[in-house]
Amino acid sequence: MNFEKIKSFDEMTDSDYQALGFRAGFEFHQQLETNRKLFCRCPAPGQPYNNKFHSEIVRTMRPTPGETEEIDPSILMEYRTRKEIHYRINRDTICTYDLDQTPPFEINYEALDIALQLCFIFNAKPVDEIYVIRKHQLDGSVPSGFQRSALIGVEGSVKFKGKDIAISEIILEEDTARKINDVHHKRTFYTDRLGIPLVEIVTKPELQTPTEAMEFCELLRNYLLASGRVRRESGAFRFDLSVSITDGTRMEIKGIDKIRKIPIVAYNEVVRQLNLLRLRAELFKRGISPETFSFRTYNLYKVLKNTNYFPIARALENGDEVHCVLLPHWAGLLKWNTQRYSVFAQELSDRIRVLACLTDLPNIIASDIIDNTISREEIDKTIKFIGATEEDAFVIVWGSSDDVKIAIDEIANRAYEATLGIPAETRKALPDGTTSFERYLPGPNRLYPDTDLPTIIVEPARIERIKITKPEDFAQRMKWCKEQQIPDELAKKLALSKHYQLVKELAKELELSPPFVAKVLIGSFQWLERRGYNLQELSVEKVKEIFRFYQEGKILDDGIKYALELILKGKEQYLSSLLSPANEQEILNAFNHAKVTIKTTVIRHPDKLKEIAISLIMEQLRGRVKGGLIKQFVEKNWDR
Amino acid sequence: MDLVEGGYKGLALEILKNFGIDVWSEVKLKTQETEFVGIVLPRSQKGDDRHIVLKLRNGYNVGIKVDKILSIELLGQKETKPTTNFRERLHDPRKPTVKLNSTGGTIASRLDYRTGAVVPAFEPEELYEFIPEITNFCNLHTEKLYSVLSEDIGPKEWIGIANAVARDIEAGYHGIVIAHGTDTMHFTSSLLSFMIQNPPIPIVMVGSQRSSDRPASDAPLNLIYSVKTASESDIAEVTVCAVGPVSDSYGLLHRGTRVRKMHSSHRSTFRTIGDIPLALVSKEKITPLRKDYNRRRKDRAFNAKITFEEKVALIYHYPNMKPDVIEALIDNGYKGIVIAGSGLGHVNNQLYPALKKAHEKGIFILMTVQTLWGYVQMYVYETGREIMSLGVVPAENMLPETAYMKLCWTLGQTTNPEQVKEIMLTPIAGEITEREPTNAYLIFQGGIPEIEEFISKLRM
Repeated sequence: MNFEKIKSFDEMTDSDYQALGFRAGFEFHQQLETNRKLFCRCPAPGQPYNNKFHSEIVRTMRPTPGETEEIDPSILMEYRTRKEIHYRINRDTICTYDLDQTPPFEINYEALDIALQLCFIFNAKPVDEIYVIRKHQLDGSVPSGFQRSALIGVEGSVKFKGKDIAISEIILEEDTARKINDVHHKRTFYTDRLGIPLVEIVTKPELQTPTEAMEFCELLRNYLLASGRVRRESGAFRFDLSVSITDGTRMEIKGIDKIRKIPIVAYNEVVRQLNLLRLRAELFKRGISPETFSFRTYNLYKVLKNTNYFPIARALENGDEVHCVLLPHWAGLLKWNTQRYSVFAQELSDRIRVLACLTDLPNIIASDIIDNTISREEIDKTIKFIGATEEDAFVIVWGSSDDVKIAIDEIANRAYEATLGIPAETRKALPDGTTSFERYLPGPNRLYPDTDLPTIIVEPARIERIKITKPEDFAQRMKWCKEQQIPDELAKKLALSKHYQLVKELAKELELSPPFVAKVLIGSFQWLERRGYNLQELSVEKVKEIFRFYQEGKILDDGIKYALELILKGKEQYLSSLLSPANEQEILNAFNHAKVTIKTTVIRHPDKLKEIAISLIMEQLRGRVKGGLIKQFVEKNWDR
Repeated sequence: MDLVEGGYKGLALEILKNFGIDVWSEVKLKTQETEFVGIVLPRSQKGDDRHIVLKLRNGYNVGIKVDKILSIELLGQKETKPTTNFRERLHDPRKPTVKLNSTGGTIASRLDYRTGAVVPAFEPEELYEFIPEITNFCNLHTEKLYSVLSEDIGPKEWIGIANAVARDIEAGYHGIVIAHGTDTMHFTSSLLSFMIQNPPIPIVMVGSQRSSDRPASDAPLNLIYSVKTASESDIAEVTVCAVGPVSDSYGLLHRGTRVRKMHSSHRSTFRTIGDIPLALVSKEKITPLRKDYNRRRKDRAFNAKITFEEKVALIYHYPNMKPDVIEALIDNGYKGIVIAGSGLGHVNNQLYPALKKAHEKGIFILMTVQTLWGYVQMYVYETGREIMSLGVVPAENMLPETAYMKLCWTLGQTTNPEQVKEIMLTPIAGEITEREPTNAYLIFQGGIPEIEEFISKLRM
């Protein structure tokens, strides 16, 4: 594909992506459904996300040399930001372990078993001896400064469109805290999900188009849901997308909130990488290479001390400094397109927002986009002061002296990186499908052995037990649904449902048709959940009992959900009232009642009065009569 | 490090040897199921002989069962880096010069990849390479006196530490910091308070609850606070310096004879018992909380009394305690017993004859309270009077550990019961206080609405 002309998102074809050498892979994060957290005995609540907190604590983190005496660049970067980390603590689910005041308890074996089960679902090989390690997180997302994590399985795969997509790692770890705020040198986290068992599934970069990536993500999510052992709330499943092209760099993109946004985010990253490669070519043309790259810096206080440009005027008033980085022969390149709606200067701004904590935007002035900032006279004075020629570009930055020092370094550093190509970064997805810098891509040097816990030898007996109890996976479930002629849409719902096994059992035990049981059970459960009932309180035996009533002809199919509702309400004694079909008189009473209701209420859809009447009658008779019968009755008696 | 030093034995050792693989080798290892590429790590010596530990390229460690291994191919050798070369620091004549003596403990610990445990290894020089802020306050001289964990500190080290402190005061240091394990730090701080009396400079003990290889370790803050105190404060006493609240906001300076470790793992483990701490210490300033402390002086005069008697026991009374415990001490030639008694200072009446016998044998018996807070008061109940009549001496509100160290120290000077009693009951370094202020006993109970409201605002 020609670098000069980049096709729009809609114009891109699979072969275009192929020509670019597009590759995508994933890190999936899925919370497991366990009663307790991974390394402490705190409850892992059914709905962990809430903003309730009782107290707040503050911490600062420091990098530490580890096993190999090396410190990961992403760790050093975080340290340079000198962030003060605030944690909001809900004492119902946070204990002194979570705050690193108590050593870890033994690993949660329920979580370990689920992780091992996922290994089998994804055809991965469990490791023989599990080592818990510390994954250092200096961004503050864990109050101890590290996340406890363990490699459980390797070398798995998932069948996808006739190929095997390789899964390189299955990892069990504790979930991190949730960042809610990050301004200047203060960063705040909620700790509601901290410590909840989480499985990280890492794929190899084998997906060849953005659409394939999206479809694969969907499929993997389906496998996880169909395992029946994972959390289903929003936020319980998250993923990082990694994207690269030929000559490009692997980029990790976090925080894509919807699976359907994957193609546009991936496309935008492709565009960004192509544009950055073009930028490098342009720099070479201008004689700027890693060897010849240069920059100069100036303190602009004298030039701008009386400026009316508000951000700088305010900064100087606060005793801050204003500086300038001159980039020789860079004229015009600061407005070089990178992403849709975005230019190279944005990359500089992003960097210093994150690394120098200059979070008040705008945080720079780029000479190529200088209109509506400082005055023409100030621009001229600046150019003269720094000795810039028409071929040069410059970036003005302001802030406290410590922050500006880092900002100058980072501006020069990011500009230098443009001569190398595309720096390896973790980027954050924005709502419009573009991305912004989050941190340097972390490497293996941020993993340290954990000395607080013994290793876990995975005994063959444990493996055997898990293999035996392994549930049918998504593909097997779909296959069964197909064999039973369950319609496609219902089949998918059933395969992802927690109640798949129950449907199968009911159909078999009571010799009912699987499509019927699936439709009624899934339909009834959805109906009950919408009404706010907690299905956990419903025992399998009770459900079976109700279906047995149906099978014995004591109850109509439409009555099943009402019977289940009575049980959930704790009014089982009234069950008998549902067990006899409604007689003509009852139907007539309900019909009359419905007509009164319709007359006395404002009806939004006057054309659907009959349908409304039918549903009112059904509601009142609570499934003791077939829907078809009521329809007939209404048709017959409507005009009476 | 060879394979045996690296913790390998038996089958695992044999297999590695067969394939010519050493610890820290980078290898490609094929098993019946899959293939791993990684570095062979040392194995815990308590581990079995059936697994080989690899650090994979993704940074994770895994153990691989030896009987699954088909082949191991050597790819290269990872160089274990030598310890960092420390930059020479120039002496800044405008700053005071402080001495940091390290005795071991978590604050002076690092990971041992062989045993997988935290072991004393951190060289004192590394501390300020790692925490450069320390040099903002002073020129720091460091010395490794010992490398022992808390529980292994004993008379030899105590006497050694006291001698080192005496020598460093005479050498003209502006302040002294002593790095020490936290578990028994209050024993050492008490004893030093008695051995080095009326010092002209701050003597600050410091430790940490989290080893320095963790990003949220308390070691850096504790060191910063303690070095700042030694450099700048005018509190010339033996003190313990440690983080105060849960948040990283300030440290507390505790008097060496009134401090106690109160939590097995919490960072805010040290508390002043029965009184308030001496001062708050932040990175910016030191705020004294009281006025009755020994001030810093320019002279080098102090009173060193470095004596110690080892045959002293500290026993914790419990109902059903049998006299044979006391008898054993008598039979083994003990010269002093400190009892952490029940309530106001009581023991069960089965023990009376044994205590009487001990007293008659010349054993000095001191009563303290296991409640930690409060005074021994042996007149309130008749039983208390009876116990005193057996020769047991009540020790006011001296903490049991402090009383224990003081008795060891006193019996090293004299065994004359009258003299021992007089020394024991004459306060030297705040070990006995005349009064308990109303804010000296504050143990908040969670759950109480006003406390919950208070801590929600306090950042704990």
